[in-house]
Order: sequence, then structure tokens, then C-alpha cells
Amino acid sequence: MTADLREHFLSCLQRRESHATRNAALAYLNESRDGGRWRMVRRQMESLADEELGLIPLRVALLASFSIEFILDPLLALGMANGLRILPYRSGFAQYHQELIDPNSGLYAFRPDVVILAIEGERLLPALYGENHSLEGSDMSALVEQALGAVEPLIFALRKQSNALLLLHNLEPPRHPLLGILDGHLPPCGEREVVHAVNSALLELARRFRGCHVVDYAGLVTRHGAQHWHDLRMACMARAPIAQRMLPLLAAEYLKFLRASVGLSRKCLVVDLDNTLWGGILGEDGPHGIRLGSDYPGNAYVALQRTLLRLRARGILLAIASKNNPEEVEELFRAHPAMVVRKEHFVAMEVHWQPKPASLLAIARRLNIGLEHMVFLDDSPMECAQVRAALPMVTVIPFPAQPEEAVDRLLDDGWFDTLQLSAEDRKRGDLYWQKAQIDALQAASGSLEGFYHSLEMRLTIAPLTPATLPRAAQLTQKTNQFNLTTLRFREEELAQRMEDPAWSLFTVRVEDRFGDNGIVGVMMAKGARHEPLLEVETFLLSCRVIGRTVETAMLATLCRKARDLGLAGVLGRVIPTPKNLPARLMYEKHGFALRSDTLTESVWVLEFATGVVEMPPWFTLTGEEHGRANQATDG
Amino acid sequence: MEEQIKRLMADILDLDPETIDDATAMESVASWDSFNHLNLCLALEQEFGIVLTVAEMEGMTSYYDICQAIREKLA
Repeated sequence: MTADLREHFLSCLQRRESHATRNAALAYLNESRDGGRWRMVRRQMESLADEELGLIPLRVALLASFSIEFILDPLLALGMANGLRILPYRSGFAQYHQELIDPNSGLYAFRPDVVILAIEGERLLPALYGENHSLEGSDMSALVEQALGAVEPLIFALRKQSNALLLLHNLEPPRHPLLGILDGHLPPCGEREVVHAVNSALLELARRFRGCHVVDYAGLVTRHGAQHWHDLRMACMARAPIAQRMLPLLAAEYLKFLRASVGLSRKCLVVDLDNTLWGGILGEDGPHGIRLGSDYPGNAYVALQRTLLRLRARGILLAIASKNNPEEVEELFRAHPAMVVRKEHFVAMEVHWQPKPASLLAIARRLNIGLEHMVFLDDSPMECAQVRAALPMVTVIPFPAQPEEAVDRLLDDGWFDTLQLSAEDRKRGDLYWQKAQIDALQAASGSLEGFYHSLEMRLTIAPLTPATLPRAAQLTQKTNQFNLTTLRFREEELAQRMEDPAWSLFTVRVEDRFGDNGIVGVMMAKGARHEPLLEVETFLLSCRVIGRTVETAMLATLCRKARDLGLAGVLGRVIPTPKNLPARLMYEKHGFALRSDTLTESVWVLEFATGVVEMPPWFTLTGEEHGRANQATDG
Repeated sequence: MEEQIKRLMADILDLDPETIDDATAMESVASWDSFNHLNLCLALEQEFGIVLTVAEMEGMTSYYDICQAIREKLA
């Protein structure tokens, strides 16, 4: 098997097949954590140019209180297998403090995209890791303060110089507390509980700084066992405390963050049904014969179904690609008492006898997502191989031989991990489902107006608030199609605008009979410089609600605002981009007159003397932005 | 066994295996620094399924010494 995987990797590499090479490298690496293998893959892949492997370059600075360079083979090999060319920066041994504090350091000259800061507890709190003979005279909060006091200035310094993503290790608890089993039972406090408190405080710190994330190093060590994790010889000889065989696991943990930072998080999970969501084959064993329920192996499949719902709750789209009889599948979903997932949890169901690659392509097209954002879980080696060959950019996870291992197999690699999660992201599954219902409703309605009324739309157009600001910034960054000027804003920039009374800033929330779409629109306007017009600078609407006259309601609101300000009309601009075709006709459609038109910009004006945009009657207007959906993402 | 050792040394120290002989030693090979020395020790452990002590690692500073040490370990 090993020889096969190695040969397969080398032959893909020889043929310069970028995705196939990466997949082959991953399969070969995943089989063993022996150092030689990782070194070999790194060297072989480094011999090819980035373009040939389609790699994204990423500048990663490694700052540590110990010798971290032993991780380079696994980190770079795994990076390339994941589509990333990691360009590493190493500081001198334990020089992290100077590197971060000195604005002229090599670190800042390197211009890192990512900074990994791995400080050991021994360094941060020597009192807890063997240096002191007693904790008497100190207390918990003083020790937590001491640790934070050492870390916080480093983050401050970094943020002054760089926007790099910061990955901050938390602390592994001390292995030998001074008082042994009495640790924590005597005043003033236990050593382990101090470390837990420090780790909580580090999380709090990470929540305060943009682009700062905690790497759960303590959790990683716990999961794999401190005795296996450490190599005491290497710790003493070379200040390299992590065993070589464990370094690929740490590299894999970093990769979860790195993948997400370049937009390689997977968004959609496509599952097979027979021997994947349940044991057995529905068409042969029948609805009563399949294994699904409270006993083994049925409970292993129940656990996997629960995992699917948990993924859905964090915004992962679920879909099915199965060779089955659709009526039987439908009946099973409806009637089987042990099914945890239901039909409406899936945004697409490809249940027929066509090949799996065709099903995956159909799902990708329907959801409008890239194949590189899809994960495919199937028990059939043949179908897995077929998908790998036809669609090598899809992440294929073969269902394990033992069903109880399926949950780990699906989650361990962190394919679905993201660095952000908005309330809207979490509801993505619901929103796709609502959209499908709405499409069906539109098809069934006779007139367009009847359709609009039947949607029962409730509109909240409210001034921008600190609570809605992150989502507004996100929309300016992500919206391409219905975006008239495509100006991008960071949260800090919007926060500054909120201070300026000249600006009128609005968010738009749309709810309908199928649910809450969340905040889907942003408008920013202020008085024009030399004439009594309200000048609209930013006007955008998520593609989720295009085609429902929401833009008309937004323009009506701007007209009302302009009148309240005693102005005589509204001025709007269109900056054409390759993507915003759907929006360019908006002003014209609403009676605005073209004032000027150049290649880079057209300017439109509506004078109230000639007309005004009215609020369409099918909208119910609600008052204050309630921010319900945004609360979940605060922090 | 000698061939395996030469292969690992060649791989990690970036040497031509033909040029490795008893005289090949840490002090005379530029790429044989302390970082690569530890990599070599760990690779030898994996190759031969052995566990080296710190003292043994510190003593294996030439091809000759490595062969001696591994032979003893495997005996």
C-alpha cells in the first residue's frame, strides 16, 4: 500500500497534474508520520514551480520560545498538499519579543501574511512550571495578569505594524504540579487552574484584536497525550520539546487556519446514502432492514447524522448524491423513526442512477459554489476513485471501514473550519431552502405583483449601529453583483463614518414568510457638495434577495430622507465592473436622468420637481433594527 | 545496514552516497550542523526501529561512529 501511494504520488508529480498531485501527496502523508516521508514530499514538490502546482503563496512567520524549525518539513509539505506555498520566516532562537517590538525587525521586513506565536508556559509563567517552590504570596489574578502582561504588548506592537493573521498558542497545563494530587486543594490556588484561567484570558484577548486566533495547543497535547507529544531528549538537547512524529499534527492544526485565511474552507458536504447515512442498502434491505438506531452499528450512523446537523448549524450546506430510487428515499426520510436528518436539511438531492461526478457538478452549479469548496463522503471505493479522477478539486473522504470512525474521519482535518462566522453564515442552509421555496412560489403565482404580495415581506431599513456594523462591512466586501459602486470598507472605516453626522448610513433587513434573510443591503449617502441633492455613495443588495423590488424600497427611503433634510433630489453614481451588470440599470428604471456618462462612471439625478420613488405597497415596514440575528456573532 | 545509513546521510546531509566513508564526520561536512544531526538521529531511529539515548546521539558524529553505534544497538 505504502509503495503504491508513493509511486502514485511520484507519477502524478511527473505528469504535472496539480490537483491530482496534491491529493496523492495528502494520501501518502496521511498514512504515516515518519519524518522521512514528509521531507521527501516537501523536496519533491518544491522542485516544481508554483504555477505548475497551482499554489497560493503565503508568508508565514514562526515565532517561538523553543526550536520550532523542526516543523518545517511537515508544515511545508502539508501546505503544498493543500494548495499553499508556505514561505517561512524563522527568527533567531526565542527572539520573538524583539522581533515583535522592534518596528525595524526582520519580521516586519518580511511582511508576513501570518504570524504564529508559540510561547511555552515555562517561559510565560516560570513559577508554575518548576521554577518556584511555592505559590504562596501570589494569587490567581496576579499570575493571570503576569501572563497577559507579557503577551498583550506583543499583540499591540504587531497590530501597529501589520495586519497579519496572528495564531497564538495557548498553554499546556504543567505536567507535574508542585503539590501533585493536592494541586488546587490548598490556598492560594492550583497551578492547573491558573493555566486554565490564562487560557481563558488569551481567548478574551483574541476576541479583542481583529485577526487574532488562539491555537488550542493544550487541547492538541491532551488529545494525543503529553507522553507521546514530547521528546524529552530533544527538549534537553535542542530545546525542541515536540516529538518529531507529533509535528505533522501541529502542522495540520496550523493548516486549518491557513486554509481558511486564503478562502479554501470547504462550504458544502455531499454525502452518499447507502452504507454512509445508514448501514445496508435501502433498495435491497428495505426500510426495515437498514441499520439505523440505538444499537451497533445503527448508532454509529445516527452519530454521523447528528454531525451533519452540527455542520449545518455552522453554515455548511448539505447535499446528497446517491444511486437510489428517489421514491424509496423520500419515504424513508419521512417515515423512518431513527432518521435524524430530514429532507429540508439538504439543499440539493441528486438521487438517481447517473454517475456521481455528474451529480456533484449539478449540485455545484445549482448552489453556485466552486468544486474546490466541496467535500464528498462515500463508502464505495469505485465512486470515490471516479470523483477523484473526474473532479480532482473536490475533497474526497472515503467512508471508513468501521462506521464508528466516520465522525472523526469527517471532522479531524478541519476542512470546514473558517475564521469568521456571521449570523447569516449560520443560517445559510435555511436560506438556500427558502430560496428554493420562493422559486417554486414564483412559478406558481400568476402575476408578478401577486407574487410580491404573497412573499409577505417585512423590511427593516435602520441606521447603522455598532451591532450591525460587522455585517455591513462584510457586505461591502463580498457583494459584487448588485453593487453600484463596489467600494469596499473595513469595520474601522465604517465606525469612523458613524461618528460623522453628515453621513446617512442604513442597513436593510428583509424577512418574508419563509424566514429572516438577515441584513442584505447597505446604503451610504450624504449631502452633495455644491447642490441641494442627497448623494448616494454606496448602494448594494445581496444577490439573495434580488428580483423582489427591495431596491425600489431602498430608493424610496433615500427620497424620504432627502426630503426630511430639505433637499431637492437624489444623486447616484454607477461605477461599472465586470460583475455588476444586474445593477447598472437601477437608476434609469426608477426615473433618474442621466447627467454624465464616462467609461469609468455614470451619474444619475432624480429631482423631486419631476418625480419621486414611492414605497411599493407589498412591503410592511418595521421600526428599529432588532439585531436579533446579529447577537449570535457578537464577540 | 551500511547502505541504509549512507542513504539516510546522503538524503539529510545532501551528500553523494559514493563519497561517504569512515572519514566522513560532523566537523568536516558543512551541512552536518546540529539541526541536521538531530534529523539524522531521528531518521536512524525510524529506519532501524531503535531508540537512542542523548549520550548515543552526541557520540554519533561520524559515519564510522554511527555504524558502530547502530551495530551495537542491533546486536
